[in-house]
Amino acid sequence: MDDKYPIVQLWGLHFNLTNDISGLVAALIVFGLVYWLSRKPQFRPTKKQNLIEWMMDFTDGIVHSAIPGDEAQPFRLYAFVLFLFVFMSNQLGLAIEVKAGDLTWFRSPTADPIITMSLALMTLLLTHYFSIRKFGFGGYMRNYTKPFAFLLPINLLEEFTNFLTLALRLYGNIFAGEVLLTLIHQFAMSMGAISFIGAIPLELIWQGFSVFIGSIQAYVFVTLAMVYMSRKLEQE
Amino acid sequence: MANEVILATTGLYTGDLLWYLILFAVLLVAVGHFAWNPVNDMMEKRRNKINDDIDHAQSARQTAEEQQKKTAAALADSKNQAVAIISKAQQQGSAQQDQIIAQAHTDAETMKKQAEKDAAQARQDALAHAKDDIADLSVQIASKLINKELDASAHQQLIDSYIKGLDNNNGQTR
Repeated sequence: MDDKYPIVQLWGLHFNLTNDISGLVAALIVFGLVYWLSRKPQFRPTKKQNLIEWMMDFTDGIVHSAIPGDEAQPFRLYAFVLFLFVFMSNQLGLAIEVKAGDLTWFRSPTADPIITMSLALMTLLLTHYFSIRKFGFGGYMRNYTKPFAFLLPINLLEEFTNFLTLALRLYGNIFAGEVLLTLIHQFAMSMGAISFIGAIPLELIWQGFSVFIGSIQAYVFVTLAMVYMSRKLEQE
Repeated sequence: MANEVILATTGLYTGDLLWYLILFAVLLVAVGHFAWNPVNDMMEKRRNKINDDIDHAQSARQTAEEQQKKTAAALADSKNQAVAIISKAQQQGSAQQDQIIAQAHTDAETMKKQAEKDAAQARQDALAHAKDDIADLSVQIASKLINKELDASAHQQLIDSYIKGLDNNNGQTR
């Protein structure tokens, strides 16, 4: 699309303010939500506490299905926060898109490949870190030659494909959703009242579907992150 | 703060990478500290409590089962004991009965023998007494008859032989 974004340069780095603001808002909403839900935890849970415990159980389920046993312990919080953050980022742009003049100031941060790549990179760096911590650097390197030494190039290549697929799958889904929303919006404005009324159900349906896609993609992202983590933690 | 604002659709904004890493790290720490840990601790506590309760219930059930077994064993034992006591009492009773009957038999036998002995003694005494009386009487009669004083002691042998013959006669006729 031909959207324009406010980009500032600081210390030689380019910052896309749209992404940064949206990400900050998503993070604040996530934190506010879990902070509100987790006040005064009680032995006999309240309704609020039930909700956050249910969310924790949900992400715990993702982690435990990929990583069995006590090894999963350090990733439970990570999976929880990652899931909520990605989920919130996916949904934000569906409800709110702020444009001022030519510039887009607010949208789903996950509709930008840089952001999804940041999240994927962070996740995959963690998998490498935990693999080295478990096997030592030598063991970590040897894992690339397993099960057969001649698979080394494929194993190396896999690291990059993992990263790219993890990032671009999320980006593609959310970006496509936003593009279609924008197209429907343009269609609504194109022919006055007739197209405006006609576009309402389309917009509704596509927004509902995007909510579904955003949830599924958050789930898939966390699941794959944990699968990559488990593959780095097991001796092949 | 901003050196320069570039209005562009392209450009690799690598700063976002840094921003998101920091943002996510802060979010992770904050959520962990304020939300995750308290709730997780509470869930852990609850899990432990449930585990304890289950263990406790199991041990209580085990104790109850053991107690029940003991009670059943005690009951069976007491039944056996009751049967034993009754059969023992019956045995004792019958033994006592036999003993009493035997005692009675021997008593009766003794009494019968005693009676026989008494009777024989009495007869003997009576006979002896009668013998003396007859002897006296015979002597008196004879003395009266012959008018002559008989020396009782001199004729004792004669009288005895007579009585013996009388006795024998008596025995034969009986």
